[in-house]
Amino acid sequence: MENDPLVAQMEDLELEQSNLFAQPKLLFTRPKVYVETSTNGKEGMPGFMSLIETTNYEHILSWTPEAAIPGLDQDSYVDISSEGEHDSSRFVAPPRTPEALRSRSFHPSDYAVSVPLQSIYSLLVYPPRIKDRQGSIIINLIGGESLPAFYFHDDGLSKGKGLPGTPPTWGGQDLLNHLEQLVEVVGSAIEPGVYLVNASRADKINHGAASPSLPASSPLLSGVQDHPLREDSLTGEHESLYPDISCINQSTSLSSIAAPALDTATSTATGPITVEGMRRRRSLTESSRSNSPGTGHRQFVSTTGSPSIGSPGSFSGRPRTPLPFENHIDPLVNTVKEMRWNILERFSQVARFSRDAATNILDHPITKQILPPHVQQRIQESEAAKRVMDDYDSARVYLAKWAATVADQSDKERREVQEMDRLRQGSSGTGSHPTRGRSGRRINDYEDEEGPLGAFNVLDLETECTMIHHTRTDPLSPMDWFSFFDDQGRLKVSEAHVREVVFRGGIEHDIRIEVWKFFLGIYPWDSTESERVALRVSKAEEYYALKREWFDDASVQEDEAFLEQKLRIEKDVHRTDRTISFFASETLPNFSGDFTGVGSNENLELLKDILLTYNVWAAKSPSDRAASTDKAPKSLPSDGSAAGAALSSPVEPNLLEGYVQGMSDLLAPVFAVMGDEVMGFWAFVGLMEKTKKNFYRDQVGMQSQLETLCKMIQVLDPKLYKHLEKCEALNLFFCFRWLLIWFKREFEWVDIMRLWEVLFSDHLSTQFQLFVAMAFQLFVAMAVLDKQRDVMIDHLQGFDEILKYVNDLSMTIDLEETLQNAEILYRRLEHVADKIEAKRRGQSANSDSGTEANPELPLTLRKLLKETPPSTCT
Amino acid sequence: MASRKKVLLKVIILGESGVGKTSLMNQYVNKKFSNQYKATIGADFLTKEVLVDDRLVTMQIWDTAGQERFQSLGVAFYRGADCCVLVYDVNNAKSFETLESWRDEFLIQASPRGPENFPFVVIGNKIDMEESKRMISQKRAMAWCQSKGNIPYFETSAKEAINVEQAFQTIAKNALQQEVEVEIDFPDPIKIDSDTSKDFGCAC
Repeated sequence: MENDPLVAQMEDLELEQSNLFAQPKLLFTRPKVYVETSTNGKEGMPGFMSLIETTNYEHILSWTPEAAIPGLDQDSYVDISSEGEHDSSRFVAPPRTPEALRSRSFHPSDYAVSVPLQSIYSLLVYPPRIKDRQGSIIINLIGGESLPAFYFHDDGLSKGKGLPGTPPTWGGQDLLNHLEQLVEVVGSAIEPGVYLVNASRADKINHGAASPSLPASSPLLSGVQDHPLREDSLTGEHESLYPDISCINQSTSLSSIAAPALDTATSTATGPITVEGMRRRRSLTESSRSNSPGTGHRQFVSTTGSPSIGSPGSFSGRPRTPLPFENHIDPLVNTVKEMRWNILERFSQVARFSRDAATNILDHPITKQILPPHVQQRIQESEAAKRVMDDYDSARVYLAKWAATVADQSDKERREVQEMDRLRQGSSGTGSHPTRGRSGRRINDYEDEEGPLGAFNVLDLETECTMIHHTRTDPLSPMDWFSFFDDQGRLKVSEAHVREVVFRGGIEHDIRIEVWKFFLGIYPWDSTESERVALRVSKAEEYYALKREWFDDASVQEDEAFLEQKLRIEKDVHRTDRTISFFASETLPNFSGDFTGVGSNENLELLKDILLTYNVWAAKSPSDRAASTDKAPKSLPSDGSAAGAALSSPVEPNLLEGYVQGMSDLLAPVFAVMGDEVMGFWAFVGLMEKTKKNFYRDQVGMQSQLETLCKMIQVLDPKLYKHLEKCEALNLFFCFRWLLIWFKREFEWVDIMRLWEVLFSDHLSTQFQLFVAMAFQLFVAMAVLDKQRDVMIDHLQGFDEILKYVNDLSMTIDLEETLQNAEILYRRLEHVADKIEAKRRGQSANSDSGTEANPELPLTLRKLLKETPPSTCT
Repeated sequence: MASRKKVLLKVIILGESGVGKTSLMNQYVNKKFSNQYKATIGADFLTKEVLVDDRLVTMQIWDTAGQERFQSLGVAFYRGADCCVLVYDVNNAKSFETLESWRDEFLIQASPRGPENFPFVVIGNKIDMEESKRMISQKRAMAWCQSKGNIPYFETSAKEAINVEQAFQTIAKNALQQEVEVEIDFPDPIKIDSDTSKDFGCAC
């Protein structure tokens, strides 16, 4: 029973009803319909062509090999077919399969095929000719597949079966007649022998077959019926059989889509039909058809047989017009192609289940559902395929990237829609876009998660935080910038205001050269224009004095430590940002001679000088620096608090110990913005004040940042935290490069300048630089992780995979989106702090003993926030 | 058993900055050379499928930062290594002299089982430069390798693709041997070094 193809197909079709006991109706059957096979010799394999009505009133065209039908039922098949006008309401028991069939090595049932009539696109009818007694029919399905040709042998039937005086009916014609009772069948005026099944209006027009309303017994069909056996019925008569095409033109209003197609159709109607022309029309009609209603049902039930069936080769030697669909459809290839996508798609879901899922993909139940057994076997036999399946590392990283692209695309679309909505609602132009930075993520992730803060509901937090918006806006323009100053060139707005403006939008490039000097501590915020002119002079003097200490001193030049530093710097400078035009040229020979033989240029040489001079400067104690020029202390970055400077300065020189890799990355953009050596140097000094802890020998700066980021993940995204824990990736070393050089390798050159000025602005979290040198970069890091968290959780299973994935994000990250999310994340953390504080207050009011269970935000995180929530403990 | 299991060989490349670690890795895996590789910050890796003694294995080749300042990161990257490649620049004496400390540091941080037998391979890179610039002779390098337990030694040019393939074949072979030995000696490995890896990251 299980083995019977018909029953199996029925079951498939009627799965929803599960009404297996109801009897399907056999509406029509025709024996001696042959299919070419590789094993059955010239004749092919005989079988029954039948039309069946399921208990679901769905109609199925089916071909069953004789060999698959047990003797008893074969009789009943033959019986029906020999009745001539059979009783269409007669019930036929589903055929049964003898046990013997199962043990056979060759399964004729493999060739059985059945399709719902709705899935048939067209029929190619080749009536019998004198030389070729058995005509054939090829069935094309909507999806583009073709069933193998069915050859209707009439020899054994016509004897005595036909009524006296009437020519015997060709089996194919019989089938057409019965089909016509169930579905609309129209002949094509362009392709002789092509009959469209349930054709859309556009298809009818394309095929010149559209008449206002084609009666069921159309003249087209009856024409064929009348002369089914005439040898030249196809070539000689079709013009007279079909109505004048020009009439159709007049009587049919053409849709704009169909019009060009009709032009093609009519122009080729009288000429030879080319395969190419047909393909063009095919693609047109397919697109219009897929849009038309009523073609939703595409279910194609088939026990896919050997690939040799229906292959073009099997038709060789038959004199007929090249068939349009014949060449490019190999059903197996088609299926395999679709399956490949299915596998990838499902695999992306499988991958999360276990690390071994990828290596065991062939054993996975989902794979078994997708892949038919014979394909599975073939893959298992193929070493190459196995290798692809086995390559779990790269496969997962690849899939993760793929998933991220898809997610990003939908995220972008969603944002665009939101932006459109915003514009439509005409909300005020303050730049406060109500954009939810994180709405793409899965809310339900939070249902079962509890953060380290215990009792408060993270799901509530997620919902509440949807109201948090970013405040990003346009960059500071030169006009606005100049309007900030009075006649003396002194800032008349507050420093905080400038910081906020730059935080929100950055700075237009033309004025960066000026504005950065304030942010990097070269100009005091309260300086006047004349003071700044004087500063520029003294800064230059100071710089050249420092430079002379190594440049003009032969003993220093010969010092081993100096030479070693020089070599280190040269090595790195020559490979720093050489793709940026400012550093690209090779106008000077490479004096260092050590590295690569690629030429140098003036700007590269200045980078080296600045870095060597910085070594001199950094090695001096602050008091020595002051001694070299009076104005030095004043020029120290003013945003470092006095307490911070006093505490950290005395130990700085010992910890920094000269050039460290990464510094050249930090210098290149500030030097390029400043455009000259002196200001480049001082701007670099200012930047290093913010980042130098990253380079300390004890790495304490990096360590504290990574630890703080880790806590931030734990509080804001417990699920991601757990995943990283599982991956043994809580050291967050994959964020090391980000934080060490402020994302220099992650964003494009122009984006780096924008990002850095936002970080310079220090608008949020200014108070605790002592503990965490700057802080907003941590929120930027959190924002990048947040964007990737679903992909990381779903696809990446180990530290190495995460590191690889994160490294490869380089140059693909959207800065503006990241900054928006970073700001939102800052506000979220603030919100969490507030909530915790409120809870603490509530609890301490209720009972003093409960303090132990009180949630507490880690100190390092509280320090990130601009205003520490008032504490009730003291 | 190991023969049926997919084999992943983890290889760590160490050495002074600018000796050509990234270039060697890229020449071997991608057959490409560029003199524009930026200084490696943190670490990265590439993978390559190779046939070793008729066995298909995946090599995961880790490229690390050359500045000793960042050696504290090593713990996370070195763990589970099957072979360590020590690279120096034949035209730079200091890069040769620091090989010993790179080796020692690796053994401390990776803490492999049986450190005395852990497979190292030494590569003297940049032999495409003119002979007059050469600072370390082949003889000297080989003597050092011998003194450290017969470490295999190769002289290569990542730029000209000289000897790179051969060096990595040996690396793969020795790494595979190490991997197999580890499986036999320690069928049920217990990770005792998991605590030491936490001394840098998040302790929360």
